[in-house]
Amino acid sequence: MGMFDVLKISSSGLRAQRVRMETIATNLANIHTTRTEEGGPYKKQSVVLTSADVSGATFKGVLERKMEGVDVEEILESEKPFERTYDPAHPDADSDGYVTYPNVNVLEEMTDMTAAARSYEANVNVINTAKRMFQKALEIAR
Amino acid sequence: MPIIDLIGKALGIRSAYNKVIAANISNADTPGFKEKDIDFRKELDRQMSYSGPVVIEESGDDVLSFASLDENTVTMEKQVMKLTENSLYYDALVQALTKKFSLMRYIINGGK
Amino acid sequence: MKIDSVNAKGMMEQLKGSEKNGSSFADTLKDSIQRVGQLEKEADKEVEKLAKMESDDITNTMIAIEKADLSFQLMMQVRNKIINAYEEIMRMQV
Repeated sequence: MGMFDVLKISSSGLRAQRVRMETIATNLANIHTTRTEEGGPYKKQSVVLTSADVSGATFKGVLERKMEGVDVEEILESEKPFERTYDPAHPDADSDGYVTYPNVNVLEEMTDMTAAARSYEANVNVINTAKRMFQKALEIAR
Repeated sequence: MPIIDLIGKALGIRSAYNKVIAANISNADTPGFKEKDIDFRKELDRQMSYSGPVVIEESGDDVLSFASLDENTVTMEKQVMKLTENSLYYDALVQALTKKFSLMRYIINGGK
Repeated sequence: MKIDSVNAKGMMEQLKGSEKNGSSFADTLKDSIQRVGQLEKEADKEVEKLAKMESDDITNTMIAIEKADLSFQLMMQVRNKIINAYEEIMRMQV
């Protein structure tokens, strides 16, 4: 257990939320992308988070658990169904005249974005509080 | 100096608790993560008789708990509240300690 | 550790008291100095941990530093009082 483990834990949180934000930004940017390298429309991406030990120290004892931060395990492509819209004039329309659009929902992404921003802010709060507490402790020995 | 030792131990637990809160907030969106907590009164009693790692346990159910669909039990509002509470207690303890030392210094120097 | 205000009268009484117990004043003084040295060493150890980034909690370091500082100051005050008392005795006309 180190003195500044708090900072490591919180910064892992900051990073995870930032990656989440970037994923959301990618989703929104590609909301109308009907063709990709693999063929077919863009698939919505989401982050899969997992708790991870950030202290780098070995597990010390039964009573004291690892100080857990968070890590991005993978970025998942959603297999949710695509949107199909009737638009025969579109260059990517299929034989029935339907265009397949990405499975990205604007409202969902915006909500997720707000949540990510709030979590990011909470992690920043922790860092600020930890800093204040440390500086306060220095007053003990003036 | 029993009171000084007491404050010292309390401060140690408060520092550890800060890390627990950080872990909770950092994992607020991690599926399956269970919110952690420290039973402060029990822990202080325990630390008075032995010096060892702080016991961290899973949060009990209270009016602020809420488990979401992905089985994550961290409630952000509760954690933010705990963060504030913890830091204020910490400040108060440091203040008390500093004053105590200050008083001792004053007496040692014969009131000068 | 009770900090009593130090004065010459208090020292004389302690002298009488410790002589009754069979331990000399010199022994009491030696023990006190050793205790101060011990606190000083503990503080140094904490600061070393801090410098090597091995510290667990800054509060322990600060408390150790302050304890060592205060007991050192107390010792200095005691030393001053003893010297004053000694000089006063030496000035007495025999």
